[in-house]
Amino acid sequence: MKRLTFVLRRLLLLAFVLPAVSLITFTISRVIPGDPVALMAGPTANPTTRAQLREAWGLDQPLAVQYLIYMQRVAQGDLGQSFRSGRSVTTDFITYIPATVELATAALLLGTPFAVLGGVTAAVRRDTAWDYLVRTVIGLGISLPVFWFGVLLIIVFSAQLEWLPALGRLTVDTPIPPTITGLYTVDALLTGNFNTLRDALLHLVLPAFSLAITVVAPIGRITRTSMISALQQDYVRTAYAKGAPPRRAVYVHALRNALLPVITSIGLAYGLLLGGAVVTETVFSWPGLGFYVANSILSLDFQPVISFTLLSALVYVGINTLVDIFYSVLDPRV
Amino acid sequence: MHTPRLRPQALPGLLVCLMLILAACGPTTTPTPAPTSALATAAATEAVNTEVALTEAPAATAETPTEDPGAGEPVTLIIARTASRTINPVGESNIEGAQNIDLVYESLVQMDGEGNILPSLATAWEPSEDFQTWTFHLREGVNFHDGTPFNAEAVKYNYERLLRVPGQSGGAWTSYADENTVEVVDDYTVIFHLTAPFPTLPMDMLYIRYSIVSPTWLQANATTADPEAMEFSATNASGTGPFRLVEFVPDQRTVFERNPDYWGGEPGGKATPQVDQVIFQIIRDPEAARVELEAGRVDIVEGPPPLQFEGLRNTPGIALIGFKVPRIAYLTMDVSQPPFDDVKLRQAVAHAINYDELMQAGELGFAFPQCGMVPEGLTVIVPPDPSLCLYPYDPDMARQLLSESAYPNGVTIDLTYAPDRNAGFEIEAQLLQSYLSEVGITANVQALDVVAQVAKMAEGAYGLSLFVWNAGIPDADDFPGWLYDQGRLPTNESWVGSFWNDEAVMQAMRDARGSTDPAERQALYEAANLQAMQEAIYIPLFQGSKVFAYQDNIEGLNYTVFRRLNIWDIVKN
Repeated sequence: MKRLTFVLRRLLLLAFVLPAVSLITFTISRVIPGDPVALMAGPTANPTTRAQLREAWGLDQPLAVQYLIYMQRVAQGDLGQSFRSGRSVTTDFITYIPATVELATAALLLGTPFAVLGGVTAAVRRDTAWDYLVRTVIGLGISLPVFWFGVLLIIVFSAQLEWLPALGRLTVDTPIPPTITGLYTVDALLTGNFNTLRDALLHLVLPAFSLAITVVAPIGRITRTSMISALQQDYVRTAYAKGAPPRRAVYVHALRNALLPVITSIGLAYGLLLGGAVVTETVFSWPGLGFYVANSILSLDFQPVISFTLLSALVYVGINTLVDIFYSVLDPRV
Repeated sequence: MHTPRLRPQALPGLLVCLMLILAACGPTTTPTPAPTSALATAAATEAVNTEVALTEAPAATAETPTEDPGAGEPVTLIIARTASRTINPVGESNIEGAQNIDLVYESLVQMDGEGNILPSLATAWEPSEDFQTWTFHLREGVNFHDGTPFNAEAVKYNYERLLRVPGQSGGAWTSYADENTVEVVDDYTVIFHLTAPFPTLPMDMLYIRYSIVSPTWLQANATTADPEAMEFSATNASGTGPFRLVEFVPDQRTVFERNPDYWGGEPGGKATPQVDQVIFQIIRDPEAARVELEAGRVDIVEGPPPLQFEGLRNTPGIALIGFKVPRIAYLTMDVSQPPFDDVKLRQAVAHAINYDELMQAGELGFAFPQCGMVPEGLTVIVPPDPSLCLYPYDPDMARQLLSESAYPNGVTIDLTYAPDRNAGFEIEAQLLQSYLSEVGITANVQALDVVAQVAKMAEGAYGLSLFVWNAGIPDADDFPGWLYDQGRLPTNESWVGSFWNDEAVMQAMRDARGSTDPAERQALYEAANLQAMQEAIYIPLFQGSKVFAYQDNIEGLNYTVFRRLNIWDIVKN
């Protein structure tokens, strides 16, 4: 009963957070100086065209009315129109999201094993050279700017060594596999298109690596910290005392208990990645959500930016709520 | 913990150093074929054709074993650009999108490289005495890419559709037409009964919105939610142009193939393409685009940033070219209010600027001196007139003019610019600030986005605005016709921030717009231009250019005054 109240309270909060986020982003996008029509129409459009545009985009209404119209449309699943792409934002999201999901998943799959293994072994061999190595890699991962590191990767592995392609999801002449999931690797596999699969995988390597190193660094750090504290617990000492082999003491007794915050951090990292890695996607011309939104911002194409912010807020709040509920299940004190 | 320490703090440094050393191993000397796929290899080998025979091309030869990649194999031209925009002629207002549209669609008229109007889907046209009724004779035997014929009904459908679809920009059709305007005389003759005289209609028809789309195709792809198939048209196309759209993947690639049934074109205009396939590859990061170009995987890079010019010039196999375009960078100010209502102050600013240094530092040589506000390359040519160059760089003269002005002790003003509008503005704004401070004018430099900058200009008394003006179509009306006619749009909608409300000049600009006599138009523009320069209404800085970096086996690259790349003329050796 108490848990049910907790869950309900969280969901109620959600109902307030989302409109608040949308209100703030909407207002910011509309009160910054300037008229979006001026940009859409260009400097030499005639007044009729401008009036048509203003009406078509609802910009002739008062701000409050514009917001209500917008929210009403959102409730009906209409996220507005992008004047840059000439399509509805929903269509655009459907086009761009699979690329982001593919890259985020690849980065997570690539980085998490290293992060967890590195964190655990660093904790076990605390203050050794290995621990320092892991910690410096983590430090680098957190502090390396992607716009620099990504370009460096391109120059070394694509331009100099010519081992890997650096741009986009496929080589320009590789046929795009029929859309099933929108993830090129999965679709190519499902349709037995192995040349495309190979090309898609090769294209994933550099951006996924560059993204992995930044995003999994926090996972490694949390694993290490959590593992160190687990190793100091009584039950681990007990395990050792009763003669459990060190491997078992570490990987069964300590790790199992240390994993909870690690799993949470993996979930949050994935949520973060799904929000689109703007810089990585730009450097590698990876046509995902981050790339789309960055281009929209540069073109002052407001509708996609507002809807993207709303979507990100939804994903974030959603994941946080799930994590909270998950904790309440695991820890009755919450 | 007794493991000997390795000074682990040094590890990341070592790692990065190693990569930097690798990265710095000099420029890519011999681009070997890329390992990824057949076309990457093909592109790379074609780019360095002398080395093809010596280099093993693993992926390509596996599928298509050929000794001579030049013969028989389709020739693909890969052009790197930063964004894909749309391919919808109705609704696209950006020059990048116009380039897509130009390949697949045609209008009734077209423009050659020098700015002359040529026949296209119309073979001839004649206006009535009062320019209110226009007869167009259409080309026979032209088919749309979907196989349906082009005819008078297609023109009627498209021009009437212009009245129905929102979000269109450029061109004045909606101001002159209604639902009774288009009359179909026979299959290949249409008459336009306009609501007002429109002497420059053929010129207006150069705007991409006048492109003729297959009506059958439009109707087949309309839905109840989207009755004009606008969303479908954003990434699909069916026109009559020299290329057919194969694939449009937003922000990824746009693929065109040669239209084998193309009607052939008019001399000087669009033509049957020399290459089989054109791919616009979207590469957002300019450094990454440069890497692809140097590796031979891209043939042409559109608009590399000035910072790369020096390096690209010194790369073997890469050429750099800048085309003069109708585009002026200039300073504008509110001449109706203090402080810039003082002509001496405006003249002092003009004399304070070291124009040559500005062009060299900001544009790295890819800019041309500009006097007056009419650039070269417009249809009514106001020839470069030395008498318009009234304000050469002369700081002493600037100081003197300032001392004679209402602000002998100097003045503090804002200087705004939009970095996105021109890559060189960042540097140029700093330079301008220093030139002005040398003569006693303090400028607070502010970077804004263009919408915010235009909004600030519309408020008036905004200080100095570093701005750039482009022609939508290359007619003089797109320069003085706007810049000297502050009243053409309401102030809050105008990008013209001069507030120069000289009634005689504004009337002259309206007369020039309504006139069909080139000599008369030229005289009107010349007079206005001279008066504006004498009063220092604007301070022109330079005429801009569009720069391309490309493989030196590419020939025939030309960027027209119409601001389009003539892709059909490009040859890849």
